Amino acid sequence: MKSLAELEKVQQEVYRRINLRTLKGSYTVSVAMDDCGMAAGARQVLLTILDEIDQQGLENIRVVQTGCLGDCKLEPVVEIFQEGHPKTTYIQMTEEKARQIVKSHLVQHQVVEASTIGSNKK
Amino acid sequence: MSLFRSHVLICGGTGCTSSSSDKIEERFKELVAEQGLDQEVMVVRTGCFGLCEEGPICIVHPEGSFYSRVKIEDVDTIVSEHLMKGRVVTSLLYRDKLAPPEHQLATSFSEVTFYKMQHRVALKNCGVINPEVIEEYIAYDGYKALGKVLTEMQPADVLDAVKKSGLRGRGGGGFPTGIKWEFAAKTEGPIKYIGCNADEGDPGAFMDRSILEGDPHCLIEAMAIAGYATGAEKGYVYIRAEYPIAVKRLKIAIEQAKEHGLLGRNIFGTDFSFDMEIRLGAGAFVCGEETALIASIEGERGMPRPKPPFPAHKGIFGKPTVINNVETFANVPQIILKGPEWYASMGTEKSKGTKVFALGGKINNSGLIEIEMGTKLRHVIEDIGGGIPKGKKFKAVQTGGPSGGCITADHLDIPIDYDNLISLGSMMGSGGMIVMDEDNCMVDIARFFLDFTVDESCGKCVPCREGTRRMLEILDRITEGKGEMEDIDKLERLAKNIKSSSLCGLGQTAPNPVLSTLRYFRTEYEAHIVGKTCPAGVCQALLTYVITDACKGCTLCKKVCPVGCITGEVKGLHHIDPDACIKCGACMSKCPFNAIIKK
Repeated sequence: MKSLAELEKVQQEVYRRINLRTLKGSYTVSVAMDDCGMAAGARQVLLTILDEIDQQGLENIRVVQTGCLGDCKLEPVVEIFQEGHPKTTYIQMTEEKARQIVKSHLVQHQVVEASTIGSNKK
Repeated sequence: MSLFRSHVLICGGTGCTSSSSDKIEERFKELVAEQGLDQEVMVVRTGCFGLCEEGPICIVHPEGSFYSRVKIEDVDTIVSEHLMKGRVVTSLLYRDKLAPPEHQLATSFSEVTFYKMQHRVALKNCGVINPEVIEEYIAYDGYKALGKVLTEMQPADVLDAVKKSGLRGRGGGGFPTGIKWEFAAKTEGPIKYIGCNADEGDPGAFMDRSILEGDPHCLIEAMAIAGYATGAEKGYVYIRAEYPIAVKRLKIAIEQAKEHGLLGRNIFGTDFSFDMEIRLGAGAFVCGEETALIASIEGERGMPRPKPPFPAHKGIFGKPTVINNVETFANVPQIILKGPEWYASMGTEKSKGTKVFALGGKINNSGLIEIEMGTKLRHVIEDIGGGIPKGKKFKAVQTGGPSGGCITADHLDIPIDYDNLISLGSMMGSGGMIVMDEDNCMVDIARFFLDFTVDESCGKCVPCREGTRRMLEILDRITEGKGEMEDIDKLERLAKNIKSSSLCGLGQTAPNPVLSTLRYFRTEYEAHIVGKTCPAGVCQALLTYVITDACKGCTLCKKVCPVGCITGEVKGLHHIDPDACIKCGACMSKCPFNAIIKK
């Protein structure tokens, strides 16, 4: 390490990966991972979300698991919480859709309407 | 390092390690791998979380779920429930008895009363980062202060900042750190040294050990900053070999810092070079005294020498030296980063910043806390410490270990700072706080600390070597019921002479526990001498065992008595012959009816 810039680069790289120990988190992404979710591929969705968050270099996002939400045919289900905002529920997630919600919802703060539970009813 | 959704932090301090947190870590790693979670869950061994009473402690982030007293079989449950299914195992969570009933389950670590009431500066990274990974330290602003100092500040600016912050030595004396550095900086000489006193010897103090175990890089960074400010290029850490985990982590940290070019030649591409070496001590209390510490670093026998010359003029190998303790150094990087004004905004007029205390003895939350200077002692004991166990009554708190004194219930509302504690006949010391309740005999406490200093006296000067031994003999006499009233005067006279004529701090402060217990608990001494009783029921020689009317005549005590001094028939009241009784207590612990009492 020969310069302050080099130090700061390492800091930024590592900090965003471990700051969940000290920050509260702006977004909480909750993946339903009960038996129904797991059978539908929830673990791959979760890993994909983690990977995409990492690739996008996002900071301060909590990824947590939850149990069955009751409508098992809609699994894998992913919910996104943000303080002061209504919860968004995404259904029938795939790897591709998961990457899309990270890019759109978490990066640009735009809900991906087409994948929400609301669009399913129509 | 890739992104993990969950971090399992396991306390790797000495306290939790002694209750097998290393095996808990292994089990977590094993199960996480078995369940295929190793891409998502990171298992980290950190430094001390502070709430040692509840160890071993595991915290699962991002939720911050605070699992306490974790047993190895609990790991299976935490992995299969919490990590696999996202269900917090509420039955294993720490119960925060200080919180309102609806918030007692510690679902979030940061909401626990014990932590909410603290202000962590020196302990900021303890229990957060993995002390064996330099990148994690860097992530939490590590080495940034060193970078700032080397690239943006002149040595004089650094001295100025430390002086302005009002930081005072945390090892006990409370000497202003900035002024100490300035003395060394102003002394001319091609070679200077930075020494770190990590020879924490007070019974009941473990803050320096915890900083070394939880955040060793912080010390390296601060010592390099001190080196730049004073013109030193080499640092020695004097640490006791009784701290194996701290030594190991510091060694790893020094290696890593060298690999990353943060120690060695031309740090951050500047002209500044700094190197560090560890010196192991054998654990002698006197080596915490700076001149004895210097002698020990040089390879001599650890004995103090008269001051002046002060270490700032003639220290290690006769060269100008700054000696600070671990906690003092741990504050420095943050003073540089956040500014001296920020640091000086905390605390009281003459004692700035925060102080770490090790709470121990008769208190519910034994452990390590960091609070702003000026916090009331009552707040520390009743709110953060959670009060006295078993509903007993608070009697006194010993601060400053064997060099300090006790503070009674009448003075609990004083704000803690260097000067207030001294005015009460105690001292800050390194920050040990031993809480005592109504079952502690103050004469016995004084005897205990004096026994320690007699053992630890190096023997170089007569007042300390002979004087403390004579005081101990008098105290022994008193606790055995052979004391006389003039013994109190003798104790006071000896204490005064030892304090004024001893060579170093060890002897100068050794009589303090006796003086302060005499000051506040003279009646207890008198009860021992005149009444031949120990009011707290501690001093064996002054107790008599008596069988009360609750006796059912079961004869168990008679059978267990090793000297056969108990008489009585089956179903009849038994009796102990006080002259033959050797006060072993065997009868008392055997009695099924609690009919035997000590008087």
